[in-house]
Amino acid sequence: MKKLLPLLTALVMFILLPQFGAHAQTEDQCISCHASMDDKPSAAFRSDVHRSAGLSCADCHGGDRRSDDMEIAMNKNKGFVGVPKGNAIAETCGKCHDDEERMRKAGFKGETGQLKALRASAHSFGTKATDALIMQCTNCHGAHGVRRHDDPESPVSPLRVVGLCSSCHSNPDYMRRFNPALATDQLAKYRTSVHGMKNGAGDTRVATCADCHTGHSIRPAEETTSSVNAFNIPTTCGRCHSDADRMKPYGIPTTQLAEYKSSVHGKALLEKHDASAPSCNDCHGNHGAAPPNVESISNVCGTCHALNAELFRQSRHKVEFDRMGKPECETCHGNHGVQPATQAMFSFDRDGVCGKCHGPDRAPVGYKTALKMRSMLDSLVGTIAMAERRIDEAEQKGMEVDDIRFALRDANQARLQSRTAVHAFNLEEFSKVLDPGLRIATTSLSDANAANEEYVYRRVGLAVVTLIITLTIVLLFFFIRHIEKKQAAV
Amino acid sequence: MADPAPSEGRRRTLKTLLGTGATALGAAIVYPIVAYLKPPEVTGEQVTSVLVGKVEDFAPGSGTLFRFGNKPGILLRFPNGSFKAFTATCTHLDCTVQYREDMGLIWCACHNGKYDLNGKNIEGPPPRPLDPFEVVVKGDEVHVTQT
Repeated sequence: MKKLLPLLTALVMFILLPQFGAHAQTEDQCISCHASMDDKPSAAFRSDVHRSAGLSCADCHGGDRRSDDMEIAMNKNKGFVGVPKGNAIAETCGKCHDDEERMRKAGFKGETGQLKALRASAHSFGTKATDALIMQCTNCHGAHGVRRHDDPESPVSPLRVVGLCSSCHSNPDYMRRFNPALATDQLAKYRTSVHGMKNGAGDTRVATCADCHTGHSIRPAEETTSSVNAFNIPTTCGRCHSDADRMKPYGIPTTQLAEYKSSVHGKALLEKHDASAPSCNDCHGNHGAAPPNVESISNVCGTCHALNAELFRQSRHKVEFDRMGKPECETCHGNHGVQPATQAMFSFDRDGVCGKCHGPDRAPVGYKTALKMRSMLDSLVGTIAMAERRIDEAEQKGMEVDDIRFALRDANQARLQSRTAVHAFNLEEFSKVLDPGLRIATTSLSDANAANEEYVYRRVGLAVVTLIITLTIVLLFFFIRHIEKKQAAV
Repeated sequence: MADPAPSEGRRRTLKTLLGTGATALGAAIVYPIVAYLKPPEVTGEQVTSVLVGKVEDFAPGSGTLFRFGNKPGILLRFPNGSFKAFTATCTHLDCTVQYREDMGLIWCACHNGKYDLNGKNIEGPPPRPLDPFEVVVKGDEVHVTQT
């Protein structure tokens, strides 16, 4: 038996060795060879997401991965391209990542079309294939150790992507080559934001660069296709901030987007497409996004509502609000759901705001002032509305009302200015703005009434004249008949 | 003495005149009724050009409001003597804007909206620039026309 053992072993080896040889020929010879050279790319590729998906070096670099003969494996006739340069890098990645069918067949369920998006992004000099890309895929994802974006080791993972983007965007010398006007303080601001502070503390759920700017479709904010364009910002922010599950750990409400959409600001921006209307970032900041604190709210609102803020700062309310620690504008107008300011705010029912602090027995001076202001505003608004109605009626009747309508513009202007003047909470100052408007509106109403009366007068006059003419003709008719009869008798 | 018999021709003429008068009267009554039932279309701005004044009326470095149809306009005269004109209606909420020499700007008193001297909105709530007019100086007269 002992004599037979070597013989049997030799037999088994004889049978199996060719199999081993064949297997050796199908093994990725690129890896084998380069690993033996102890080079870094092949070492990194061992942990690459593409390798676990069955891809080889040759899938990007070309050549024959089955051959351990360098002359054959890296032969141009075998499609070997070496290290792709320039746009060839992104095109190599795009061969698969822009081919949705191929990606789905490979079991990939994520986003596809990245090269197409990259070409249309700010990281490309143009959208054509011949246009140079500023950034290649490898600049962000690396070349041989590519990992899933949620892998903490990936350079595009939530905790590392901020450093990755800022490696260029915080470098003024580098950025000047592309856009000298672009700010380079995004990272510094981000680190002061709620997002940035939490991210810095290791929270992977908060917004990073890619959450707002997207990963591949990054466009300048002034372009309407950009995810951070003013018109798209509410949706971009709302994607997380309206997500109750996502916001649950932070204990903050998720009604902001819905409230904003119903607000005067949201309607102006999203329905009237008024680009001057504020979006989320105009009040909260963008890279440094944080809720404005009590002291800064009037400054934030005052960037647009400057006159209101100026009057408020000089008012008695400023002192009282500061004493009570109340946020200035927000106390009366709310925040995300700011509604158009009307005289109803002066009421002391559910819709009113003055009643929050004032009443017949509580700070009664303010109560009386509010009632008086409400009464004056009601008069102005009512008179303007009546005048407009009467002007429209006269115009429909064909009366000339251009001058009256032109004059009424000043009353409307006084109405708008009185809403600003309210913020001084001073009846005398308020009257100075409102009273001239009320006089103009009253005159316009009187003129419009006169135009309507003139119309009636003309109609009555026409009827009387018509009657007289008709009677004359009828009498003439009978007179002629009388003459004819007389002549016939003769 | 018997009345002279009027001729048949004169009588026919009188009848024709009477018939025509009656028809015209009927039309005069029916037309206003029809016109009343069908209200006139509200016509848009018909004014295409206005004479604002004489060149010497406008000091260099000044802004003057004028009426252009139903809307106000603002005529700016620059220190070099040239003119520019815009609608003086703020693009925010239709208030009338004014020239502010101290700011070197066109300014809206309602919400502090600001426009540069090319009519471009530069600060505050106005969503878009002021609409420009064309200024034509004919002799010593300054005319403003719709562009």
